[in-house]
Amino acid sequence: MTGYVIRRLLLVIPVVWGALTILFILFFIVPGDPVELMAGASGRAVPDATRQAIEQQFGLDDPIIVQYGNFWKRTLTGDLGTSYASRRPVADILKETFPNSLRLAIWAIVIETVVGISVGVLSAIRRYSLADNVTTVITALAASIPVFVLGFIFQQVFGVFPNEQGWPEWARLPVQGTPEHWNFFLFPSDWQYLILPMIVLASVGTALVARMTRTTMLEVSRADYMRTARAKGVKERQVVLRHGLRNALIPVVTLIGLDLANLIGAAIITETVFNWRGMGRQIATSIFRRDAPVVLGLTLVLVVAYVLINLLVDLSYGFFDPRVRIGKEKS
Amino acid sequence: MEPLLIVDDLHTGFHTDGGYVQAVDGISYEIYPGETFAIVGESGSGKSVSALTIMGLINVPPGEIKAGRIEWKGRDLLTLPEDERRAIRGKEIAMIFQDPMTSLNPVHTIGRQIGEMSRTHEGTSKKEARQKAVDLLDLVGIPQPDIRVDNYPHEFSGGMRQRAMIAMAIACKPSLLIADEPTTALDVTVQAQVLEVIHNIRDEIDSAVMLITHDLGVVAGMADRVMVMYAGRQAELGTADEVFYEPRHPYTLGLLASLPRVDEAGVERLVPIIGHPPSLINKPSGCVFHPRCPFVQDMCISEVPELRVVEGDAHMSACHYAETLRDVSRSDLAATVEELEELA
Amino acid sequence: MAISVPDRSLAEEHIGGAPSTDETDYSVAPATPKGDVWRRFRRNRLAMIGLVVIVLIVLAAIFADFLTTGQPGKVNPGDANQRLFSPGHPLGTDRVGRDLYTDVLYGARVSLRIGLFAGLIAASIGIVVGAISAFYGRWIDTSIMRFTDILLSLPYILIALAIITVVGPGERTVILVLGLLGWMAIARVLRASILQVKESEYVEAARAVGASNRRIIFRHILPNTIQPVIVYTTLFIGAAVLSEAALSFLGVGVQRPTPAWGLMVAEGRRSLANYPHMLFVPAIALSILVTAAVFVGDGLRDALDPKLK
Repeated sequence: MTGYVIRRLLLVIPVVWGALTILFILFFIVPGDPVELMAGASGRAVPDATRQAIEQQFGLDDPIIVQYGNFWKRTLTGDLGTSYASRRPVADILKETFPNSLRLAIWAIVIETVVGISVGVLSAIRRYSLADNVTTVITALAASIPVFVLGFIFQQVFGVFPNEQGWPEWARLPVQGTPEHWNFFLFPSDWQYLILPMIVLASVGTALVARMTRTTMLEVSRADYMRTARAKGVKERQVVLRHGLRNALIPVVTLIGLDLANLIGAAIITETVFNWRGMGRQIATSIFRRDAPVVLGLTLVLVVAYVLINLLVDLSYGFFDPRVRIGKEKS
Repeated sequence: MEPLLIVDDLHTGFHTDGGYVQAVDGISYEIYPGETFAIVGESGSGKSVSALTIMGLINVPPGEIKAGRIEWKGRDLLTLPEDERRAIRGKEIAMIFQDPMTSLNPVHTIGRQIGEMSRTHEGTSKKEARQKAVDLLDLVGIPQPDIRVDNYPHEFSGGMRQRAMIAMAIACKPSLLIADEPTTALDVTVQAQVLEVIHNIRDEIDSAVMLITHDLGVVAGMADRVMVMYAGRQAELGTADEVFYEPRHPYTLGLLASLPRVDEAGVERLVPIIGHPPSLINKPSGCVFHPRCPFVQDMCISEVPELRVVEGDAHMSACHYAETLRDVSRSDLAATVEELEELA
Repeated sequence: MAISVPDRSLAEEHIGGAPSTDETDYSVAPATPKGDVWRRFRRNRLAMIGLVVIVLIVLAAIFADFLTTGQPGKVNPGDANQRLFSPGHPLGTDRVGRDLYTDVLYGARVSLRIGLFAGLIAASIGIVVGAISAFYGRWIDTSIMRFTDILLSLPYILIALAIITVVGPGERTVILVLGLLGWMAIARVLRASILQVKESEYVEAARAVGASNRRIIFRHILPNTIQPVIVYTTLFIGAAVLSEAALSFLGVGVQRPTPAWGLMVAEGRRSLANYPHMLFVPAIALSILVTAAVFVGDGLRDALDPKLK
């Protein structure tokens, strides 16, 4: 078992290496002048001396291979570099943005799990009923409305409109911004800022989880062991939950886990709409500015997080499905 | 002796896209305490469906239970409210199924699944239930039951799984154990072992056994009485000796004749039953077996034969000419079939 | 010696076991698989609605020239900020006077083109890669899957963003990027499907009978493994349309003067408070198309998988 984990951990390395190399290539064989970015814009040409100085300082005049080597050298020693645009250490930017992205992602996952699974189970139990059909349509819609549209609508309905109408404080929600103070990492004192982005980010995932749960519950309901459970005289509710759901959740849990891995980086749209200080938005801005160190540094963290979470999901598979457990021999 | 179970004119069917499938078409029989009652027939004969109907495991749409009465220890199961039926299910009438691999929940331990029986019906605690499971596993002959009880189904071999299923079924000492093709999915050697377990269990907990199978060999060893079904209807009903040695229905004759027999190896050709199984949606008129019967007559096509006593006290057959079959031997049947085949 | 049973001729008539009625014997196997699939699909109401909607959108896109006299993307400041149902502008106009009705019609072309072509690219690459990986096995399989993992670990939108920023925005780029970033999942799905079928019994049976590899692949493996790919690609097309919307929202999608629904939503945001229709008209169009694609994808999945009825 430990051997398996170690092997999987080792696999992280080539994946991260490959991913970053691809990004590196994208960024460095490409037009876009970081020197201009750093030396100040406003259309003025950058004086040669300044250009040379900057290039030297950042090693931009070295051949690509050398830059590549330098990049890894400094990264592996923990130095994520300095932003071209703001001159701040990438590590600082990371410290500001990563936790926010993680928090938003975790909350979105909580909603996806609780709401998604419940809705899925209910609609499977009441298959073909009105509630089921309505749910099918709603989940399809939730998965089809562009996230930013949903964001805009929520902003209007819960923030702008009440504001205009002069509704009291408690009836409104802020439309932009990130909470400042967090308790136990996940619970912000100014929690109002969290509500809208969290729901919007969770929308697509919840719809997918609900649909998948319904599908797997229906598949499972045909299983022979369900009939056996009923033949034992077990109460129907227990049959559905203890026997059916327990099995049906196996693929759903995987889906949720993978979604978590995705969400941290894919929240860019939600972060932009709600002005949430997270990694997605930061990377996007940096891409526009050709701010390579920020992009590379933050994406590195994203990729590592993604791969590690994937690994955890794989390992947890054995917890949920005894047939897959590594190490238990068949007697 | 009072019968445990009285099935009276039971009809169970299913609404499908192709039409209404009449799976069980008016069958009636009784089962007495402690006896082993075998129901024999091909796939599609309705034997499993009738058992599931007794258990109350038929989904009512698309299924439909028209008419009939199922009396268990004096109460009509078909009119009982669901929670009373559920109390009987597992506790008084238990069922084991054909494929133990898919019939056991892969994510629960064997012990937990066996324990679920006593926890559901007798309210035992987790600890007690587990101990009881260990005892039951021991009873059905599983080695190291105290370790095995925490295994998962995929860690058991096929025969062991079936034994575990049996252990699970008898946990509450049911008065009737329904075994639906318990050995079909198993190797031949294992089959014998499992049948032996069922046999011993029967004595151990003093229950009746309804053994559903298409395998006559299985029946021969174990059954007290036998009912032969065809296309949802009864063909013949009697003691094992009567049905095996003095068959009184052409279908039974055909079944027996088509069995390969060790003592006749190489001597005679196998005698097949001509034709193929009928549609359960559009059944043949009159006697449902008539298209395949080598002895068919006019009346067979127009009139449905009643199941009636044709010999002794309780040997019944649903054939208009049951009595004339007394003098038909296997070789007679073989010759008739051969001639008819040549004509076809 | 035969038995002396009277009137044996009756038995002769019924030899062969043919049922004595004239009606069709329902115990015989039903229609061809393809007809079956369509029949099941047809019964799924939502899927049929989705299909009809998509066909309507496609027709509207094709015949856009006949359905409107306006020029797509034509700016007309004098006509700015017209509300819904204004004379001459059934869906209103936007901030710079572009007729929303016209733009939505022509925008359908863009969305459909992007969805279809991105889907085609992703499916083509995905099928080839997945098939190679599954059939050649061993280290080819491992290395391909490793490579796929690497690509999958990169955040989709961000990479699309990076590439487009670097290469320059536009419809063609968007299509290419979406297609190139989408083949991995299809490859995986197909590979898993093939691996499962390869070891199944009917393939073994075909081999035992002596069928050539080529025959086995085309007649047995392919028809059965292509199903999840079809379902997934349909859903992918819907997702591609949404991705284009997201990219346009970020400013790197299709550019004006070509009207694209995602772009129109982004543009409409600014006027959301006063003229919400500018955002909602294209947003609703997008949602309808994608929802329809989802219903059709669902319907396909249910129709192709008989067990799920």
